[in-house]
Order: sequence, then structure tokens, then C-alpha cells
Amino acid sequence: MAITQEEVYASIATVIDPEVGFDIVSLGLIYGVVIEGEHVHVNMTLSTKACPLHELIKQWTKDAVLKIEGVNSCEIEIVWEPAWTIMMANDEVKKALSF
Amino acid sequence: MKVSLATEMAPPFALVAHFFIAGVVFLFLSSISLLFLSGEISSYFVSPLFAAFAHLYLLGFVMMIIFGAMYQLLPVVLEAPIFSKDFAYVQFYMYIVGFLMMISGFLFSSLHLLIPYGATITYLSMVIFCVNIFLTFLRLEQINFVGKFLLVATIFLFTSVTIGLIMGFVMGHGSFEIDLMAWVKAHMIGTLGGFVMMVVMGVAMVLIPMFSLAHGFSDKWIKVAFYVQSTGVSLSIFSFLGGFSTLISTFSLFLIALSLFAFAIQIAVMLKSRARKQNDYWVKNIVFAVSSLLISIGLILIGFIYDLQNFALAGGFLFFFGFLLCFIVGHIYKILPFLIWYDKFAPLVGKQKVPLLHQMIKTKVADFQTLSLFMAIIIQVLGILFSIQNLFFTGALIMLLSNVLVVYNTWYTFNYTIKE
Repeated sequence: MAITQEEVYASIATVIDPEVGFDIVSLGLIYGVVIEGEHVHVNMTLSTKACPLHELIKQWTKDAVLKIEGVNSCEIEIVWEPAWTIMMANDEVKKALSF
Repeated sequence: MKVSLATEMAPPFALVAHFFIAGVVFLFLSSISLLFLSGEISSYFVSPLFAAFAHLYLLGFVMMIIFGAMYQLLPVVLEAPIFSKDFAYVQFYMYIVGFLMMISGFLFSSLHLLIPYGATITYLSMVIFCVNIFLTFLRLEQINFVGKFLLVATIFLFTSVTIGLIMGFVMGHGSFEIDLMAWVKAHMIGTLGGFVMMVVMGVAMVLIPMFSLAHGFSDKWIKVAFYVQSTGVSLSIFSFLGGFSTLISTFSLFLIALSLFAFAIQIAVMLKSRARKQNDYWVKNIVFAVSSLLISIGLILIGFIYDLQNFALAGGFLFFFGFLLCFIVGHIYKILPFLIWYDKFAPLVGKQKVPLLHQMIKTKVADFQTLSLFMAIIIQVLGILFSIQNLFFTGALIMLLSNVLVVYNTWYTFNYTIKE
């Protein structure tokens, strides 16, 4: 069965930023997911270049994707352009962080 | 530049924990000694008890936390490991021994001869720190802006502790004559303006955007602060040691005040651009700290211009407690849970439920502690301004309570376990 974008996003959404308390999909950190057969490429950013969990979040995301049935390999690419802003987060996060 | 609190470059948490635990314990002890200083709030007289308190607070708390933060942050700021972790452990234990000998000498007149020996051991421990930092920098091909702050800070530390050591010998043995007050001023400016402030400014540029999610802000004010502060502190040390005219020393202090003002603007610029708008205890501490810094500059200026001792003392008190204490305690609440979380819970992610960072702090206790600290500081400043000893004592009592709560929260964070 083919891997779907929804499955990948749902799995990545289990990764929580322990400082902010939200998952990284709701925070808007995932810029794109490309599925090529059994390989998944995730394009993502972090909320700040000074993110203390840089390496860990990258690893957690990879682990989450590799848990999906049918995924054999996964590559995580961290990009800084466009820079993350709060506008990329979903409404729940915006409301929680900006009140 | 990638900067983080914990990467593979960072030292083991046990090393940093040594400094943080000792720092918090000495904060508690310094709060107790502050209770006995109500009688000294209306003079510049430096009693042995005051000296003991000042060293407990500055060497025991402020410097300990800064050393711990430096060992944690420097490797990740520079993206290179610290030169020697063993040096850091040796520094810690020598520092504790030397520093406690100095405190004993201040507190018990029969032990006053311990002061120069304690000062020498403390000096040597700081030299080890400086050498460790210099050797770490020596291996780099290039130094980023935050790194420059930390390098210049360490150079100032080396200079000012050398001045302190010479003073210790003169006080202990009377080997030769110096203008002690001028040397005390050079020592204080070098340590506080040169080391403490340069470190605070440098790490603030990492920590504040990180915790507040500040983006796209201009950093021109911190660049101004870097050059003006370095120049002001250097000129000030030379002018006090060299016996230059008052005009030059006054100008150097003016430069330092200007730099602190630029730093305060930079903090405001960062906080204004933050994505995270909650005003939690961390933000409250930062805002109170920066406000205290600005008010303290004003009070000290008024004190010197109109020769009002109580204004200058109140300004000094506000700098040490309103600014330094709030700034440090606010960051302890953010940094400590993260370091402990990283050490203890990060390996469990994906295997079991792990806590969020704010759950590792008793947030209601932190909120109450923050408010009580602000209240204590305001009351004590008023006590100094109006020379009311009982008011100062009341504030000191509230501050003791507040600092006990800091100790409690630190203990809570260190011992946090996952609830079933």
C-alpha cells in the first residue's frame, strides 16, 4: 500500500517540542514532504537557529517517519529559508503563544 | 551560525551541575548574611561582614552561575569543545576552598590571615579558568560575535583578579603601598563591568531570542554596547590604577553607562519582536532586571553628581539584586530544566511519555518567588534611600524567603521524576 502525505504528517505530529509544548506540525515547522516509493524526504525548519534541540528534533522526526509501515528510508533536511515565523503555526498555537 | 544549549560539544551535565548547585547554595547563605547588614545601609564603610556578604553573593552565587553557564554555552557558541574538562573540575574545587578561606577570614578576625592565602587559591583557580578559556579560543580559526564578548570578558577577568590578588597581599601583609580605594574600584569595574556584564551581554544574545522566539531584529545596539563597554572598562581600569585625572575616570564611567543603556535598548528590541508573548516569570524577571539596570544608572549618577551617598548605594544595590539577581534567577528557571531534561529524559523520547520543560518547575512557586523578590528589592531600595534600617531588614527577610523558594525549585528540578 502506498504511503500517503497524511500518514507522514500524522506520524511527525507525534514529535513534541518540550519547551513550547506543541507538536512540530502544528508549529508549522514542516515545510514539505516528498514520498518516492519507500523513501521519504522531509523539508523542515526550526523555530530558531538557536534551537537547543536541533539535532534531537531532527532525529525524532526521522524516527517518527521510519515507524510508518512501508517506509524504508528517510532524509530530514533542515532549511532556514524562509525563516519560521509565528504566522506559520496553526491557530491553536498562535492563540496559545500570543495571548 | 548554529548555537544551542546542548550539543555533542557541551561538557557533561555533572560538571555544569557542580557550579549551579554551589551557586544556589551560596545565594541562600548570602541572603542570610544580608539580614545582618541593616546597620550599614547609610555609609560607604566596608565592614568585614559586608565583605563576607559581598564575596558570598558575587563570588559564591553570581560567578559560580556564570562559570557554569560559560562551560555550558562556550563550546556550543564556538562549536568547539572546552580545552580541558579536568581543568574545570580542578578550578571548581580550588575555587570553593580558596573562597571559603576568604569568607572565614572576613567573618572571624582571628582568621584574617587566611584572606591572602584564600585569595591566592581563588586567584589561581580563576587563572585556570582563564587559561582553559584562552586555550579553547586558541584552537579556533574564527570567532563569532558572541565569542568575542566571552573572550574579552575573560581577558577582563584575568586583569581584575590579578588586581584583586595584589590587593589581598597588601591587606594581609602590607608588603607595599597602593591607593587601596582606587584599586578596589579598578577591581570592581574589571570584574563587574568587564567580566560579568560582557558575559551577560554575550549570552543574552543567545538566550533571549532562543527562549522568546524573537526573529528578524536588528543587533546594532549590542554591537555599540560591545565596543563602548570594552573601551569604557579598559579606560576606567587604567585611570584608577594610574591615578589619572577625575575627568578621565568620569568619562570612562560615562562610557560604561552608555553601553549599558545600549544593551537595555537591545533587550527591548528583542522582546518587542518575540513570537512568544506570554509574560511568564522569565519575561517578568528580564523586564524587571533591565528596568533596574536603567534606574540604577540614574541613581548612581544622581548620587555622584549631588554627592548623595544613599542614592549611589541604592543604585548599587539595584544593580546587584534588581538587575543581576533577577536576570540570573529568571534564566536558571529556563536553563536548568532544559539541561536536566536533556540529560535525563531526552533518551526516553519515543519510548515513554516525557515531561515538558515547564513541568519540571513548580510554576506557581516560581511566580510567587518572582513577585516576592521584586517586592523585597523595592522595599530594600526604599530602605536605603530613606535610611530606614527596619525597612531594609523587612526587605532582606522577604528576599531570604524568595531565595529559599529558588533553592526549593532548584531541588525540585534536579529531583524531578516522571509521574506514573
